Amino acid sequence: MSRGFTLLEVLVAALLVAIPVVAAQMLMLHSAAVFHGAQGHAHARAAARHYVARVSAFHLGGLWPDSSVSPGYWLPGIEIQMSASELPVSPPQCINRWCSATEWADFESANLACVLNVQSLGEFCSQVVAIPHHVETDRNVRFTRFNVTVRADDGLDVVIEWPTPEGTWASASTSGSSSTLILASPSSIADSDMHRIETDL
Amino acid sequence: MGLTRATLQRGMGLMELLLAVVLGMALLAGLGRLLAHSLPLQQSLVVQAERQEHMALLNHLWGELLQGAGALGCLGTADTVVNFLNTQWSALGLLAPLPGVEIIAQPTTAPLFASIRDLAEDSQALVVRGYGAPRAMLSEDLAGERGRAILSADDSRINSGDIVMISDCRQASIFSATSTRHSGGYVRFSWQAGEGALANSDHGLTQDGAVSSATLALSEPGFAEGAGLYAPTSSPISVAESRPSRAERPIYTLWQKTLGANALELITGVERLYFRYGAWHPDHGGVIGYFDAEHLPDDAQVLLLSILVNVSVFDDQADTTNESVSFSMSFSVPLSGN
Repeated sequence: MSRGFTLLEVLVAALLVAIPVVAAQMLMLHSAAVFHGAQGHAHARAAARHYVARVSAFHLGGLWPDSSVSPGYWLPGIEIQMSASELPVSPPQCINRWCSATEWADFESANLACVLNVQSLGEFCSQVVAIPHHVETDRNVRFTRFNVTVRADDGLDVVIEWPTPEGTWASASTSGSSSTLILASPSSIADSDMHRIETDL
Repeated sequence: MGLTRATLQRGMGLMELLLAVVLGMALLAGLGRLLAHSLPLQQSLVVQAERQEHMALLNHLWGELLQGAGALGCLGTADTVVNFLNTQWSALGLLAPLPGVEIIAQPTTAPLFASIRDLAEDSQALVVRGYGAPRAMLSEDLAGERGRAILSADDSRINSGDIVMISDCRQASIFSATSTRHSGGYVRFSWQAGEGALANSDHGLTQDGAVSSATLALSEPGFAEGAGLYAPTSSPISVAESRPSRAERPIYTLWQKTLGANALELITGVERLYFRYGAWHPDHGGVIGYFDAEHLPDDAQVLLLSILVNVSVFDDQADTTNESVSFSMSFSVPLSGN
């Protein structure tokens, strides 16, 4: 008479089958984490590039009146240190109205927060981003927590950090070169508030 | 023949069977979860990859296009551009050099887009105008109603009836080249007056209504050797139905057309464009604002174009779903482009 499988044999067989299944699942989870990480990086870099493009557009040479221009400076308020938990309650709104240079810098900071997470500033972001209500924004790339640092010295360095599911913080950065710009700042701003740029122009 | 006890196989016991079933189900559940998880991940990956591809394409194409917005050669202002065509300045449309960047809030009612069928009603449109790089350079001073120019490249041509802008660093004129003749890298052209809307008038007008007092120029001396001959490089950008669109399931596309060329279906699935001007004004030492098309002050200097693009998400059968993704882009606009 042939002997059937014993319980131990069945368990060992099941274990052997389970190992590759679990390994495949872990691989899948790992690839998902890698994908979400790459997605986060792409989103952060796009947001940073967007910010640099917007800021740079208003730093063209010859733009600001001669009487109030000191070539080689960034506009005041461009340097920021911002986190999702400390966003301004009511940032200045520069849509369809004129803003001073300082208000504009604050507006751009808030705009960056909206690009990182369109729900971060409620109605402000709805107006700024102008996404119709029926459009689903991509939930996967919303940063619920983030830190942003903008340094304005030789160039415009934007660093964005966000938490990963593993509990660490990832970061992406981009730089706006000053080599193609002539930068300016209103002379009413004290020199100590300005960030000198050594342009090669 | 009777069965002997030795040939009988012992089956699994109930406990063994139940345990095997439970383990099998657990493995199946694990595999199922694996498959269930992989599908949305794959779809999300495709959506993200497409979005990045679209952004890269538009960054490249529009970045280059907008750098030529409002290009007038070395001329710094549009105040000394003269229109020698029978068409009024206000009706020049794509041929007008300025504004270099114009947001069309309601393309369905705009004459510039009248020839495009099935425009997306919810979407805005854009016109980017400029006169790009010179096709030819005058090789001798203009005289009478004739001129001679050396072509900038082997494949450069100025054909009879082409609208051309001649420009130096003082003034420019938009006219229709007539009786052109190419030979040995040179082009001879004239600018006889005619009757059609795009034929030449016997006098020219600036945007301010000043009448030209010189031959094909605003003021004497006229155009001398070295002046450039430029062709318009205008591009209307809009959202309209795609070629494979069906009445029961319309598919919209981002279309871009270059003057004189066929429209190009840039990105299938784009269902809406929304633009805003980033503008500057010298008041109070300089102020900045972002304006919708209908709110842009007349004296604002446009320096930035802010764009929001909504794109449909397609399913496996290449049909649009109810989901869409959006992305924002910003491009600087040259100072001369306003």
